[in-house]
Amino acid sequence: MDNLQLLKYEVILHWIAVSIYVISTVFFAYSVSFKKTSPLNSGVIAAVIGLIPHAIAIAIRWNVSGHGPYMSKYEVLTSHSWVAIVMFLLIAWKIPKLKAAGVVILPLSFLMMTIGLFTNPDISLLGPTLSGVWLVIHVIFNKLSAGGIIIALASSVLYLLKNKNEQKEFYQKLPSLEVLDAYSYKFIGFAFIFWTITVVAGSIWANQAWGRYWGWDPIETWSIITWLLFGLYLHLRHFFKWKGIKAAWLLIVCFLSAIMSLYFIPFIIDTLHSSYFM
Amino acid sequence: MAFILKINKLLISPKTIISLIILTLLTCAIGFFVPQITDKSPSFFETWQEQNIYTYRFVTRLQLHQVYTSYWFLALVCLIAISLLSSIYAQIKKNLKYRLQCGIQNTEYRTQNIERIRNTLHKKRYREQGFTNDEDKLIFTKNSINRWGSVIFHAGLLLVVISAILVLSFRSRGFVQLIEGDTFDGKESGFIVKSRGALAGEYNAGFYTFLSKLDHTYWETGKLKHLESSLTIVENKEQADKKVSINNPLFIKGSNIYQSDDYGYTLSFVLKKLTGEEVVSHFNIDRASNVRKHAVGKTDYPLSPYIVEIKFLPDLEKKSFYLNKPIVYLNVSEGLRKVFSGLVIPGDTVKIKDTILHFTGVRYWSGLIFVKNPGMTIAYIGFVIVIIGLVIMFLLPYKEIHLSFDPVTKAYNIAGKTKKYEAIFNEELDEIRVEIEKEIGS
Repeated sequence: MDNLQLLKYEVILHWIAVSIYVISTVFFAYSVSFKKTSPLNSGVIAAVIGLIPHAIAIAIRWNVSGHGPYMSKYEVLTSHSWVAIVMFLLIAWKIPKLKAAGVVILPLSFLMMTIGLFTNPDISLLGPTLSGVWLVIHVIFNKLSAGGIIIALASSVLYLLKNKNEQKEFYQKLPSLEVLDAYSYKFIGFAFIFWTITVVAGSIWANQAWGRYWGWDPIETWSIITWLLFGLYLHLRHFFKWKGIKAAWLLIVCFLSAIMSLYFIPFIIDTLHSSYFM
Repeated sequence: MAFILKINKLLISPKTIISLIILTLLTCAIGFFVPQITDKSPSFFETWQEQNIYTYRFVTRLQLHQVYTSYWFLALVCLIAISLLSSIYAQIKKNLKYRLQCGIQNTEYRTQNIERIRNTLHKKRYREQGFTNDEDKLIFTKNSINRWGSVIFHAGLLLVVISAILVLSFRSRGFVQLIEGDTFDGKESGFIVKSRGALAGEYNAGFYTFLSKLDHTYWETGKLKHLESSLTIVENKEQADKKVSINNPLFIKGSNIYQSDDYGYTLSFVLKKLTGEEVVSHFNIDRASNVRKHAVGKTDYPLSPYIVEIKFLPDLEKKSFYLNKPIVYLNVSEGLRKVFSGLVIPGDTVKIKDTILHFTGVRYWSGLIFVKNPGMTIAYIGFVIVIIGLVIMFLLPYKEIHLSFDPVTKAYNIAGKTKKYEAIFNEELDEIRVEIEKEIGS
């Protein structure tokens, strides 16, 4: 089978995955909207099924392009959503009470994939700077931090929803407000570690490639802004015992900043990173 | 002394720390939104000055157009470093003073049930610390290292900040266009573009660098795939052959040599005057952005009244970036008057008025960056320590379990405390209680 044919299948598989994630989202949305717990399991099962064509599609593209999924909007968005869903499923398996977080993670993931599918799917060729172990570490932890932030956001959204509807039966089946708040804190802790490793690996890689580890490129500036916002969130929790609604809203601000760093800046401003994403 | 203690207390106060984080955030935001001298051309600032003099004055007086090298940002970084240092000192002092108030052994507690509970907690990686001093509770702890996490993280951060200050002060860096077959003497005067930290001396590599060959390969689309310079490093009559490519720098005698992705062609000419004087000149032109385009250049010909304009194709036949069939469309003018216009290939000689111009040949030039960066090792150590500190802080939260026994009711009581994720720990405690109940049957 030639590469063109394989890439055609890859796009079809991506659309199949998107469709299944939409079904999964419907289950989660139905569950949260109508305060029913039984559709949660169906939502999780649909997400697991969707992950299969999604993984095959990414693998096909990886095989054809000869490099990991990090060279265009299409590849970045699809791989980020795959990692976020895998992380969500692992958490749903370990902490079943957090299954409802799918109502945030699944729609975000399929939206990211769909945006990616409407961008140019051409395979970008690797430039000479795009090699080495630091690139691999930078990319892997970038995806993990994106997943971690999305999951932390989902915990905070569940917190805010439960806080508003605490008396309703469905929300009583979720973890307590204190536990949801603690999970947001924990997931941000994870994301903060991953984000730091991403920035550190990127710095070392930049030093290898260009002879400087920090250059205040717009992406670098936004990644440090996001890192500082995470730092602010963690310090406010530690020193001033911020929790609950205040902490949840600050986490949403952190999430928006991360979105700016990960997607908007490299896609709209001409930076060192945009040449890899465009 | 009292004053120093007061300052120290102020520097580690939560409000100061939060303020420093917010100030750094604001600085980054200014750096992003206000045009910076590193990103914009001087003409941009001239236009700005003409159009809005008051805003321009405000921005330049506060150095907002060069935030990352401004005096106030340097002061902020120094303040952060001092705050980190004070905070690390205070935390170390606190941690060294900390003693768990337990350690007494009580043999009366050596019952079968206690052994079962002990085993259950050991399986969950809790370490027995002994009884509290009032012999009331048996203490188990997990992740005791956690209280050092913050110290380790902030120490790593301090190293990164120190390295940034060192880099800003002592780094020297320069870009050189080295032609195949030529040697760079390693001195700053040879740099085309250079930057030097406030306290750095003049750059001198201390060795000579000879470029023997530039290798370049491309993808089918013409996009650059690999770029590598073969160098000979010469020092005190000793020489060593080395290779440097993009992403694979060369570290040698305190200097790093980086392969830039800038490279191109050097066109060599000899201008013979009527007097017999010969002026040799090498014109470096950048590679074109794609194979179908000309590489172009325009310059004064030294020691002559001529201006030379070049349109260069490295490979007329196959349209590649390789020097297979190079050809130049040459325009020579004297003032506004064109004195020569035509195609020339290496070896050609053309007569221009009363002089003869000989196109001797074409070679590649390679863009190399020479850097002396004394802060990098410290930065790398800082990076590793920061990550270790974060892992300890967030992945290994400190947990303490207190086990007590009521001799009257014969009931065991399990309580606990933690500093992070308290609600999750309480759930874990409930699970431990259930497990222990199963074990001892009460």
